[in-house]
Amino acid sequence: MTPFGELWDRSLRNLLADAGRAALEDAGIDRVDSLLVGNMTAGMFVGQEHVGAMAADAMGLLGVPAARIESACASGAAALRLGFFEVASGAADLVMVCGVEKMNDVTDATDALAAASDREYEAYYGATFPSLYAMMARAHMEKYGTTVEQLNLVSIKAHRLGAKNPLAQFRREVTMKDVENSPMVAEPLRVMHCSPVTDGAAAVILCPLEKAKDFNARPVKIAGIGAATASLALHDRTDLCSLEAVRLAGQRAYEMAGRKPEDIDVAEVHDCFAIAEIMNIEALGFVPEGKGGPAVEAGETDLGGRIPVNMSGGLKSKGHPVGATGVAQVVEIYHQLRGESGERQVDGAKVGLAQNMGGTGASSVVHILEAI
Amino acid sequence: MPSARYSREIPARYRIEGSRCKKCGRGALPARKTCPACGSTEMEPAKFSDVGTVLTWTRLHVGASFMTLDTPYGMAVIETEDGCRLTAPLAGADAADLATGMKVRLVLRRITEEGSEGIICYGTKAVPA
Repeated sequence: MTPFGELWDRSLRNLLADAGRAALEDAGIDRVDSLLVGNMTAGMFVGQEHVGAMAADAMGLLGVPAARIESACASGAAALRLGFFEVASGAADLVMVCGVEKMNDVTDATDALAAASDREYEAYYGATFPSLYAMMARAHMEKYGTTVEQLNLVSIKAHRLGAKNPLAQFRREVTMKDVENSPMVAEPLRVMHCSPVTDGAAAVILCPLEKAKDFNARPVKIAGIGAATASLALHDRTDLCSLEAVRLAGQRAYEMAGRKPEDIDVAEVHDCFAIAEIMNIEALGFVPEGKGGPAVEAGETDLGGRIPVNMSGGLKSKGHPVGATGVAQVVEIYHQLRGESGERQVDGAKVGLAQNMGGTGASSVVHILEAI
Repeated sequence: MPSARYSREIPARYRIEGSRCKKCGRGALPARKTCPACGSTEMEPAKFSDVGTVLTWTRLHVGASFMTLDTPYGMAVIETEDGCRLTAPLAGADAADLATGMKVRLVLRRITEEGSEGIICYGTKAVPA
């Protein structure tokens, strides 16, 4: 995984090469049977499509079959899921999955990101992503009594943990006052409730479980995968403050892994906005519907809490290079399950969950990983 | 924007014309072959009411790039009295009056224009009823 941030000296090509070569070196290999790249919209951010071929070229893997996989901000996990199925099908033994996004080379990333909403019936009218999540936040607050202070606490926790993550974009803690005084973006969401614009890449190597020890002394197992969709436009959802795609994806992943929410020791969830972390921990069954806010307030999702969430600093503090995020979440869980996350380590973590989400929750992919 | 891409959406954007599910009554905008609520394929053409209620809303202080001159502006998810859902900007209301449950009327308004020789883009906005 590359550092996340405003990487003015790194191009899309450099990021692919940095993350890809590091993954190959770590596994001690110089080729893979297949390369999948999670990327939302290099076409809009830097005018470059055909990112699969670019990745193969940049990583020195020419000849390898390669393709770019897109599911908006869930592109990284969507690519990982397909990589898993390539290995499971027997078609490939070694698959590299790389997530990448270069977002700082455009002046208005918000307009490019609006492509993940309904272009003709949301973005056309001037609805931006912060405004769509703001409307979900308001619906959640009015239905369940969730408070702005609870949203603030999500961001404060993210920054406290991100400050301990050497690869995070914002390695500094913030106070309640910092969040309260940050500029309003879309009521009730302020700048400090929103994930940033980030450059970065992350890569992992997949192989059959029985061969894993040839490449890694302490490999991590993908025990469950679930993916699902919900309506593209927020307004078409019967319940405006419940993430049905996340609930379904979680259910499918738990079923495949033979696990329950209470088995999860550590989780990375898609906190593109503070309200999303609250809605996601509900949809994944960590807390009952509507109880996400009080759970954050009680410290249940903090390091040392009942279900530690986003020990990486989350999208808020670690950064959110959209296509890279799903892979980076799994990299964090990998290190947590190997006990090598330093000051952010969840003691004795054996089962981890990573949840990636596209748009306003129109798609989601959940992975459950286990230490072996 | 190519004129065909624009004109295709005129029935839904100018006149709130879509389709309605014969089974559960839920409206769909633009018209669909399947119901977004119950999945039924029995859909009939429908012209929806211009009277609706705000289900949730926000006020953007950082807006879309083409809305700079209008910022801050309101945005809402609205349900018409005959069961059609849509997202629309809130116009002509004081910030203090914006509220969930607020009654609105849907009106045709200019949304943006594509430079001095491009299309003038119209669509539905919500004003206090």
